[in-house]
Amino acid sequence: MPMAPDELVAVIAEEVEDLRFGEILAADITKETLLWSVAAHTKSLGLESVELFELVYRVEARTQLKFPEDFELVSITSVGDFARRLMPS
Amino acid sequence: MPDNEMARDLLRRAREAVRDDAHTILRQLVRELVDRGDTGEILSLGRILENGGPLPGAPRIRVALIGSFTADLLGRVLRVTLRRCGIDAVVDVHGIGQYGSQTADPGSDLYRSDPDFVVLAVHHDELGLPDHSTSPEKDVEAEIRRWRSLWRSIQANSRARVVHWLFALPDDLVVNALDVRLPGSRYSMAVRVNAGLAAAAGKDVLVVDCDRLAGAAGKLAWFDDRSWRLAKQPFASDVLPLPARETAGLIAADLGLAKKCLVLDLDNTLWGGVIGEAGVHGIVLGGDAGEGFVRFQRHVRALKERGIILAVCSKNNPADAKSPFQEHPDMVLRLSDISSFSASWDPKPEQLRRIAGHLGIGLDSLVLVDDDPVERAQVRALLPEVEVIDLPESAWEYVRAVRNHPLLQQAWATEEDAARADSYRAREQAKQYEEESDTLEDFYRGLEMSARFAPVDANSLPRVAQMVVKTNQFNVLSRRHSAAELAELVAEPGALHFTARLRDRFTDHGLVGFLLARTDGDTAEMDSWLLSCRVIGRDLERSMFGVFARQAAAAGLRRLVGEYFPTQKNHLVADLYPRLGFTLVREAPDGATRWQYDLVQQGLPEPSPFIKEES
Repeated sequence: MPMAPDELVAVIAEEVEDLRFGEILAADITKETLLWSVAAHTKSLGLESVELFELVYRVEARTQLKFPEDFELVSITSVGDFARRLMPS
Repeated sequence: MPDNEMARDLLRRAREAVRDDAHTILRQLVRELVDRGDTGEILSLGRILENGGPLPGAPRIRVALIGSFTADLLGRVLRVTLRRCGIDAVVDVHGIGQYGSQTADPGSDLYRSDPDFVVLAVHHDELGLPDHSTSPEKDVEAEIRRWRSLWRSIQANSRARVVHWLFALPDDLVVNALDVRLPGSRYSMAVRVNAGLAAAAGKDVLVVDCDRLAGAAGKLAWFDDRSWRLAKQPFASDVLPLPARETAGLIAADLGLAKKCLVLDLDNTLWGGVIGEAGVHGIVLGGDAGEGFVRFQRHVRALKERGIILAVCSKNNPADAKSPFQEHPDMVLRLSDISSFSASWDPKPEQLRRIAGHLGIGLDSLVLVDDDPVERAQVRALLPEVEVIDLPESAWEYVRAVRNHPLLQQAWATEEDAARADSYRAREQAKQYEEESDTLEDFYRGLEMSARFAPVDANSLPRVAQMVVKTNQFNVLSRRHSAAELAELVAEPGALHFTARLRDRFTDHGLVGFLLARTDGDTAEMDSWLLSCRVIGRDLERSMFGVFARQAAAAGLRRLVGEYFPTQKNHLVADLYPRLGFTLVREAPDGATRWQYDLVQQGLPEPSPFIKEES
């Protein structure tokens, strides 16, 4: 059965929690949460590029969903954006 | 339980074990999670372990990982796989593509970090080969020379051992089917560079065969253009545990942590069915149904030929258990391949203890292969130091399960490796003979032992280096010199050193002893003295002491000094010096002792009367 958008957001949140073990709780993450600082002084999870790369791997491996070949890491901004782009259209 | 839930449960338990300092449980969980081979789980485990303390009793090493690519994730996976091999490692990841500048500059961060191992994790883009060559031999030679000079730089500027990743070769390297036939094609040259580097590595450089690993994973799965574009990592994150596991296994083998003995269950492990019920001709072995078991036996025998000792641990009547070895036409393994055979109705932990005792090795040298999950669970619970391999359902997959075990790796081979299993079998025969002898003297005499003592030379150095890292029981000082350090020590002016080879009526045990002493004034002080556990209890130490004393006297020395540093495993040599006539000089609160023997006052000691010295 295909995953609902909210379920996917929850999966991403869990993977962020594992990725930043002990620092970030899945429960504190919503679809609006920014993954990295898109502009100065914005509040975000502050993931570095290699962590974004790891997060993409983790979520793809767990959900078996796949980003398109030509996507760029820094084009993903928020958790919701991550989920939307990964959901099959 | 679904796979993902199981993983989360294991990770949760690992967190709890870290919190509670429950090291035995944590070790089991690390084994299980790493052996599952899932990159995400290993990365999560790595973060959990960062919050815990060091692994008690584990060697602590520093590894410099220099990649020609972004190696951050690899570095984290490598650290966890090293931990799975019982090694507490700090892994420093050096910047992408900096291997040239870092290795060439004696003042670089690489050398300042004083690593124990430098892993050169390079990928095919770094091959300095033309697309097509009109002089391929010359180009291949030049490329091999380039990498060898990098190894030499590292060896000249540090004490680190080099671990070199051979090139995984993508299909993109190939123009078409003709490449394999054209010596000047880039692909053909790359294959020869890999082979040339493996041959040139000798015993100084450890080699990870990434092209084989990529082939096993499937090259389409291994290489990942998107990962390269996004993060400059040339392979998929999924496959990271494969080269990490092989790298960790080789480092563990180099540190002497590889396992010595594969203990085999019989029913549904070496053959299909239950021998006690089906009889020799009713078991599944050979033919279409039993070919998987035959292949597995071939693999096991190949391990034996590389020096892994084989033992049998089976719940069976002994006569039933032995009958296929003696009578079944498709048995590849013979009784003579098995160094210790235990078949009884005793619990397996009890049998394993007996096997370790017979072979004179620790329980932590054993790897059990058993199809029965209940037996495996019992051994894990009662003997956590024994490694246990989970066999898959199908016998066709047994080989892969055993081959993937990281602690059955071998960094390099010596002649003694091949002879080791025979030597342990001979030890078992000798032990039986000892039980039949009336007195210890009768036993020694009946063994008809002879020994040969010779200075350490280029031929014996690799075996000596292997013994120095692997010998735990008869090792008075337990100094773990690298091969390079040993070469320097034996070359020191005045150094006294020799190896000992022992033969008896059952076998030639090969090179089994080593003694090294440094001299100062009229004193020779022991630096290393060790004996292989295969020949402990043969009185060889008495003959070695005799040779040492003779050498010292010939060099005009008067005092022989030896120290004993207690470890968890070397208590059997705690009384070595007093047994040989040394006098106690001092004892430290940690149990370390210092002893002296005065050649002028006490005279030359007698060698063992039971061992003939060969000239």
